Amino acid sequence: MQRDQMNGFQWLYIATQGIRFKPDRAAVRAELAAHLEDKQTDLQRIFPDLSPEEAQRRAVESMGDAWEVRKQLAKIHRPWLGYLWRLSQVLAVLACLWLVSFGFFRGDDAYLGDHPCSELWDADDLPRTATMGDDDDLRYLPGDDPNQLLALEIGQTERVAGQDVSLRRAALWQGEDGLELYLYLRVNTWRFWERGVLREKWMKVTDDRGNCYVLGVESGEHPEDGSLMNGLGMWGFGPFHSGYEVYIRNLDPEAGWIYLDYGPTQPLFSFAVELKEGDQ
Amino acid sequence: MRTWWKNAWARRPKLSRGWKLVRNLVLGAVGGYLLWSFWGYPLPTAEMTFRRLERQHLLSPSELVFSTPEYGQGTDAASKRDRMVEALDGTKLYLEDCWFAGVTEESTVIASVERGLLLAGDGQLRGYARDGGPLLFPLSQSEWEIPRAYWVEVDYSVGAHYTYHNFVPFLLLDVPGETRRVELSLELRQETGTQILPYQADSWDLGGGVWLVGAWREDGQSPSPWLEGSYTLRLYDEKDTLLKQREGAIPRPL
Repeated sequence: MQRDQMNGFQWLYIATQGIRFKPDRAAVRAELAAHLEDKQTDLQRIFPDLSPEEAQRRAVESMGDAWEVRKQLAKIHRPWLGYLWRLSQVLAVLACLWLVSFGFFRGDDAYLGDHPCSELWDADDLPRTATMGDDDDLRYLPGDDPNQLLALEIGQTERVAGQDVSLRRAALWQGEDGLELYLYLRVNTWRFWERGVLREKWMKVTDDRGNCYVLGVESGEHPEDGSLMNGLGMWGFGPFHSGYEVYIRNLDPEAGWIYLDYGPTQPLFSFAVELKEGDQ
Repeated sequence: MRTWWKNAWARRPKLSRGWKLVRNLVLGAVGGYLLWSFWGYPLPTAEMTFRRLERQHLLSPSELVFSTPEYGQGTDAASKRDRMVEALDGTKLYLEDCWFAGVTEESTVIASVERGLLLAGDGQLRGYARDGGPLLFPLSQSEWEIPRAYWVEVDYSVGAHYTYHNFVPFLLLDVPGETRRVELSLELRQETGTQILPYQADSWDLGGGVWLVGAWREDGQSPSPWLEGSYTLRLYDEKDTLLKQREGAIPRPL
């Protein structure tokens, strides 16, 4: 086919054939066809004696070399961008359907799960969830209760295996059967798919008086309520953090320091807390 | 109301295709995250799950000394969940789920991971103390059941007759390289009651100082899933000279 004898249809076909992504090709072709038609209409309006075929021929000529236009359009309209656009549309639709159905079927806690201890983040820096309003968390906050002997904000942090383990708070209370110590630990990571866990058996709690406080079943039962005397429990957790509480309910009254060493054999991290007011 | 909605829709900001692409990909990422979290963050391979378990437990990566294949149930597997490892003598041994054993200077970690068709699911990890000498570790990871383990005997004399020999699996690690024969006697607490009974043990060299041990009884009695008990281990070289003897309690997880 000779380049100067091309009709509009042929010109459009050649000019857009370099665009490999079909929807883009169709859209560009439609736009160029509209341009071509406008030019043809203008020519016929300006030169009323011009035949439609001649008007089209001149309009095609004024659009430029079809092969050159084809090269330029192919450079601009990359196929992978087109396919990515299509994929993103599909993903967006699927995501919206999933988000809606997820929320519909799982209710209020759809996006955190219906576990009572789940929270997006540890907004209140307390073991239990901010929305629970759990009174147990109040033990860490300074108050007027004469049984509260100490409420410390600690903030010691160690980095272990890519996770940040921090001792956030400590609280010392006078219980009915002795001194009770509560310690809030938090494990943070941005890698939400591998949130850290602490094991009760790996936590060793000692004091400066040489006492070793056993955690778990072996610590025995608390005489008041029959629950475990000492232990480590997980409370509020979210995508990026896990909150743990160590509780010791038979603390030596003479203890001045508490040491936490955590690890299966050698300690992976250690914290020391002085049981008095002031910077830790 | 309808007119208001139509006007509001007409007044919405018109995004370029680039920004629409970004918006769609962000929506897709959010949906993908929710889907992934809904299924418990499965990973492509069981080994990745094992490494994740180590990081979750704040442990540094151990040296992997034993693992079962990701796929490959072998031709005689009783279940799609079973994985086949081949001993140096050619015996095909089957274990339920994927297993990993890693060592550091002071500890051994043993983990089991469930492996689906496409992705690896959750797993359990236990740590044990290590002293550099040959030690026996139970492959029971649950207080409720002992994992399925067996080897298959095929008799081709009359067609193909398959006999499945079940056993209670243990791993023997840090075995000296010159060991050619392992003699092991085990006593395990039973599932019901406090009775402790002797078990026979077969052992298979997997290479690299790792042996798989299978405990069993003629009467088929199962021990308690806690696998509490004691053992006496004797290692012999190719001349049948005693290399090492060791006895003690079956280790409890740290």
